[in-house]
Amino acid sequence: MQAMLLLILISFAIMSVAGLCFLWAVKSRQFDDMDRGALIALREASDETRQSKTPSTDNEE
Amino acid sequence: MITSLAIADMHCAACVGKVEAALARVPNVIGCEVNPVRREVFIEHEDGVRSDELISRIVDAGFSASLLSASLGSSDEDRRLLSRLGIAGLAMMQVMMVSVALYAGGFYGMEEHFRQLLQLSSLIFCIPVVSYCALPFFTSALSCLGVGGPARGLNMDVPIALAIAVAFSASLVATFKGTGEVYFDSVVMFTFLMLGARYFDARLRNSLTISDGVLASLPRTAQRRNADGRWQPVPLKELTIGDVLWIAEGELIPVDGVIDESPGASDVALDESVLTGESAIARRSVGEAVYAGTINLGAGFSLAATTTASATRLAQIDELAKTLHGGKHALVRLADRVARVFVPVVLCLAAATYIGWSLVDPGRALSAALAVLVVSCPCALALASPAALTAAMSSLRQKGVLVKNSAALESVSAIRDVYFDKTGTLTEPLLSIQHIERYSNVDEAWLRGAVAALQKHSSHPFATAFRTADAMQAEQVETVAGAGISGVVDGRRIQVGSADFVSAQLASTNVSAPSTVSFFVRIDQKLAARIDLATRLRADARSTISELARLGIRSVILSGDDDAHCRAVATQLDIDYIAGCTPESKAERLADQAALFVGDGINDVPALAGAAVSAATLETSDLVKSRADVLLLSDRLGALTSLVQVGRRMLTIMRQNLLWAALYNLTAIPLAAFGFAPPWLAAIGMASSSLLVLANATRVLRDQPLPPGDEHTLALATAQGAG
Repeated sequence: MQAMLLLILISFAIMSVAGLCFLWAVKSRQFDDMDRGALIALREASDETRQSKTPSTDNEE
Repeated sequence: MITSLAIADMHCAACVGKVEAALARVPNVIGCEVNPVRREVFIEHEDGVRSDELISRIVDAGFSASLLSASLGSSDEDRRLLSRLGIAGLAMMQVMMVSVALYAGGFYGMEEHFRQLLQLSSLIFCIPVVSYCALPFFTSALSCLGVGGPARGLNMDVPIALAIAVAFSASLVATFKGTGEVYFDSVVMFTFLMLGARYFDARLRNSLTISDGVLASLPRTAQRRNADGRWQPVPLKELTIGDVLWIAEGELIPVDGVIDESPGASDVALDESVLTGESAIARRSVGEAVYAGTINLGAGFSLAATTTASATRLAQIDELAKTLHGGKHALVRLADRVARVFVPVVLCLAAATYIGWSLVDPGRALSAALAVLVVSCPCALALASPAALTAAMSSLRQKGVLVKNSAALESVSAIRDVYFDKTGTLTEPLLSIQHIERYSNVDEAWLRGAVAALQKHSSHPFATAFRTADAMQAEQVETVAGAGISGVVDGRRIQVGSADFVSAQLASTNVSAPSTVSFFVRIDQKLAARIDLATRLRADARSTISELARLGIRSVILSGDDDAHCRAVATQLDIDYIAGCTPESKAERLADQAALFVGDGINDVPALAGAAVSAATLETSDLVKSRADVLLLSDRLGALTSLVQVGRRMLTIMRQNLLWAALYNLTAIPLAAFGFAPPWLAAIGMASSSLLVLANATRVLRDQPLPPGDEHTLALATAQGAG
């Protein structure tokens, strides 16, 4: 009985943490644009090739 | 502040990097988010940054950009809904896990205190779902029933809220009394699924907002001449008829009026393309009428207002378009129509079930009534059309078509004719160099470069013809309003412009074809060349028209131009034409026809609003964009075939979905009412019917048409299919 109670409490705690993380992620606009992530890998590669061709002064993240 | 721009020719990750780098160099820009799939960029910046400055930076980087809307991203509303959906999803996982134990206990027997503990833990996970996630259903249902305002009649949220509230309170009582059924699992799953459907719908509607056009971009103030002859800025709405206003070079004209004085030049050069759709420069002399929304390309002039700001021709066109457009929006969303009929029926059925079972077996009354409420929630019915629409819209978006009016997409499949505006739609919106006639032995490449160098300093529509030429450096550039431009390139003095400007004696009679515009170049005071500019057919105009014909759709030119111009283009493309149309006659012709209209100018606005489906290219003005049902984001007309194909497929799938949802409800409601389906089974039934509808909708995305160039494969496939 105690073991089960403990497990249920733990699961509630984990769910709360997960829920708060999710709320934070939504609030910080991480779900606003779902298409961009897939292209990040491609983009870094093309940035390198661009920089090797022409010295760039861009300040990118 | 956030500005969002559409960038039509951004295709790859490298383009994204270039756009971001260009924007990063603009002062006071805080950051930007580029979405390469939708070809949009959201720019966060301080309030002082003007959108035209941002656009010009992107243009400098080699892209074409236009304003998509004043301030939009994913809205707060959207984010709140997603938060609710996520929390409900997390809670659902927990409650389901506990439910498995409870059901196992129900089958094989379970000690009472274990059962109570498990029920209590379900309750704990359920509380945030009911108190936070399901809140929109409660507030909407209450406001519909007239709490805190006038009653608005039943909507779909009423049975949803009722089912959640009744199931939750019954379970609460059962948990603490230790007798009766608990429905926490049904409550949580039901809330999650309904929120999912709602989120779908919100995403759909949020992606469609576009700013309301040129009227909004007119300046807020105008320079008015006081009694003492001094110029003073006054708010636009304070202007009265007869006021004299100063219109500086490059400014938008705020009200209709007549030209009062033009001290800089003999006539006034205007870009009237916003009203006429024609890129050729318009010349007006003192006493002639000019219209709000046109741009002063030449020197400043003064204007006597003949209308107030709210009664201009532009405002009238906009008004006309709005009334026509309003009729289209009168098509109430299908889900709402269904709900209006369906909801009272469902409530009555649930009540009848409860009363019926109370007479026969009171212990099962609540369970059966809840099952009816849950099973019949018109979830599948509500999802059937939005899901297919969303899938179709995102599929089209990736093909370069932005669907603004989803109702219009439903009528795409009925289309039998496509009417094209000629100028700027079938032809390139920009002028191109057709012919260079040299009068001296000047090198042609050098000439192009030199002229391009001068034209870089010009806002004249002709300058666009030289965009692609390799420009040299020009010095001492002077613009003579409405006549031409002069400067020094490679140490040689060059003048480019009209015949009058370059040489007073030169007669302009030797112009070749009617569709060309000519201007002259003089180098070191000697006449050097004549350059003919012409409009050119869009590269894929012919292939698009034959593709459309293959789909059983007839193409027709509907133009305001004269017969000769139209015939020239129509014979090239081998299609019919109707010449000499006014904006009103275009709209009349299109009314009550299953036709798609493709246009680009403000003169097309009534026709765009009146056609069953209207499309516009992105290079057009904001007013046109705001009135068209569909925007072609790239300069490819071929996107129209995608529009027709996806529209047809969407309607098929939508019909399948509606049929399935109707059949499901017709069989499931009697089952639930006669007690064959407990609430949990009802929730699963509802969930699986919704999933089926969603899965079916994604088929719109999956059936990609073959890429251009694969016609042979397609022909083979068709031949094999037929054989």
